[in-house]
Amino acid sequence: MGAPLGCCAVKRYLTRNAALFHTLRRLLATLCCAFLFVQGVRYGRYHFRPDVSWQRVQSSGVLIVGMDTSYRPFAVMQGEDISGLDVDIALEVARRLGVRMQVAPMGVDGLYDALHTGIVDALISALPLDPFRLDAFLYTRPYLDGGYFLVSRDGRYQTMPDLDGKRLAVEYGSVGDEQARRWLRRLGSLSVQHHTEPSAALAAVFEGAADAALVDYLTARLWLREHSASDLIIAAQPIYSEGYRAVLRVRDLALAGKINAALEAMAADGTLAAILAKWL
Amino acid sequence: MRAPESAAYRAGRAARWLWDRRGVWLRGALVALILLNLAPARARLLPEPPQVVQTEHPILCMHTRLVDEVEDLKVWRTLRMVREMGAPAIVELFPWAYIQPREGVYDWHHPDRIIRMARQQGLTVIARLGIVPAWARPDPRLQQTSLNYLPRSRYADYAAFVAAFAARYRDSVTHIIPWNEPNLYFEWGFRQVLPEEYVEFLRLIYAAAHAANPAVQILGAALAPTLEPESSANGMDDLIYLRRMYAAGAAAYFDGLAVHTYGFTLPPDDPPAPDRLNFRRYELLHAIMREFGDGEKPVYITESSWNDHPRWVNAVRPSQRIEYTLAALQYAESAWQTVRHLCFWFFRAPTLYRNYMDGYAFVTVEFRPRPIYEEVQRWARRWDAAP
Repeated sequence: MGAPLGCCAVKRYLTRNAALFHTLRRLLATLCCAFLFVQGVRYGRYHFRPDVSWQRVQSSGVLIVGMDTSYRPFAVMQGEDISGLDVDIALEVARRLGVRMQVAPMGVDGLYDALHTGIVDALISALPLDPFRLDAFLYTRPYLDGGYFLVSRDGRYQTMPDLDGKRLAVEYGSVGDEQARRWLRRLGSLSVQHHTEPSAALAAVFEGAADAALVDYLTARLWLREHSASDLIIAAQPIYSEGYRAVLRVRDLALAGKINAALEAMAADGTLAAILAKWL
Repeated sequence: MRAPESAAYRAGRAARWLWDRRGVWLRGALVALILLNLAPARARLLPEPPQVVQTEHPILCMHTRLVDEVEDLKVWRTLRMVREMGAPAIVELFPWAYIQPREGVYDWHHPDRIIRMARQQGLTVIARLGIVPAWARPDPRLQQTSLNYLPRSRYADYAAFVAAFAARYRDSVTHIIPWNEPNLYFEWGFRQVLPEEYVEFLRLIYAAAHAANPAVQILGAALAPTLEPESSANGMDDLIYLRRMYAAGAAAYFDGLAVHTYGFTLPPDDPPAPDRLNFRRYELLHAIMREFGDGEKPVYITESSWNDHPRWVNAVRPSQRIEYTLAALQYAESAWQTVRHLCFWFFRAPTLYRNYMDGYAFVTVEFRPRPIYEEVQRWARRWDAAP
């Protein structure tokens, strides 16, 4: 007759096999725990290691910035010289951080790989926020909104609802066209004109053939620079926003904070606006 | 004589029995939880009535990117938008490595659902078969190879796979393209590009596929438009390659020809020339077909497009992209009699490429139709002519 099962029954290992099995189970459990502990320590050391990004840049005295040097007016390489809006912004950021700035020229396809592999410290290359990359990269505040803005005489049209019953000029097939098509469904009598170039859309407004143009900020600024006598004004807020930001590795939070603070300070004291005015 | 056990006593004993085995239940529950989470997602879409593509221009076709799409809803939504655009056909890649992960073992789960949903939307599927599984390539410890590397000794395995595909989808997929751009070193598995070798490969495939499904149409793989000379390590000029294919007797081993032709920065009416890559380069390929008495064979342009990425040197403005695309469709429909479909690369990608490739999409990752979608739809369905 076996021992009765119950709360007070004493468990016994009656055979050598059972005892061996019990020992093996304990051993396996111990090994698993040890493995998990080691992996936990490795994970912690990797993910919670001290952020020395700022000290690294400070000690080297150089901030290496990756740029696509074929994208006018942001960065263009002519011989050995690289110049452009992004170059000036990077130079000013580095000056405020008290380090030298070095440009690493590359194609747009290689920018993120260069940052990920540590070839560069940061990217400043007209890059918009990419939500799919937020697990690996940090984005600073935007230094420029390259999105789509309304442009009208004296800036009289600031939002899309202001254009009900008016004529809107856009570049055929562009994001501005895409936005206009969406607004066509909301506004009762918006008239959309298609043009082959964004500059043609702006010219249509200037000549009175359209009431407003919905074009990208860069084109608008460059066109207005060439037509300084015109009374066209860019709206204060974008219809479709696409901020260009500096990008850093997600673990380089300290350096990102410094660059972000420098950009904030540049925006506050007018330096950023002066750089934009120089190139746009 | 034992006293009868009360219900409460029996319940208590059962509870005790369960409690004593709690370890087993808990482990079982944990294993079941893991297994259930490992299992493929259940179908969330119930069958709909079959749809019909409404189009005035059946030449229109789209190259989709569904093979890496996980959720049924996204596959369905993509195919529905293709149908609503007025395109009656799609080109889709079905990787051999996904379907036959081990020698002799087929997993038709993914192609089944894509083809079923495409049929439900009334779409014709042109299947491109490629991507070599690991088991058909050399041991990586002995030789590092790419996903396009197929040794000669494995040609018969690929042919058997094509035959199995043709047999399984005998009522659904009538056009199969074995391989892609074999005139490129990269696409040919970093092996020397030899048209005669591709013809030998095609011969095996043609025989196996037709034995499995006599109605299937085997298309000669589209060649990459390139100007690489015959001696180049990167590939071979598509005109030279096609001529050598015909010289090696390829005409008997394909029922139609797949073609890739891109406009790059040039308009679709830019005249063809052997030293120029443009949309009408197809006419030079067709001249070679005619030269070898194969001019009446149907042609499927399975990749063509203009790109409007703002940061690519070979891109055009968005307005030009629409203008060129519509002009290309009209030109191909009126001037190229043997062209059955003009398929545009590509409809929508499952995720952003984050480079110039994003400038090819007709629909964004979030399923937002770009203006080119609406303009091509307007043309395909002749909405301008509607009252």
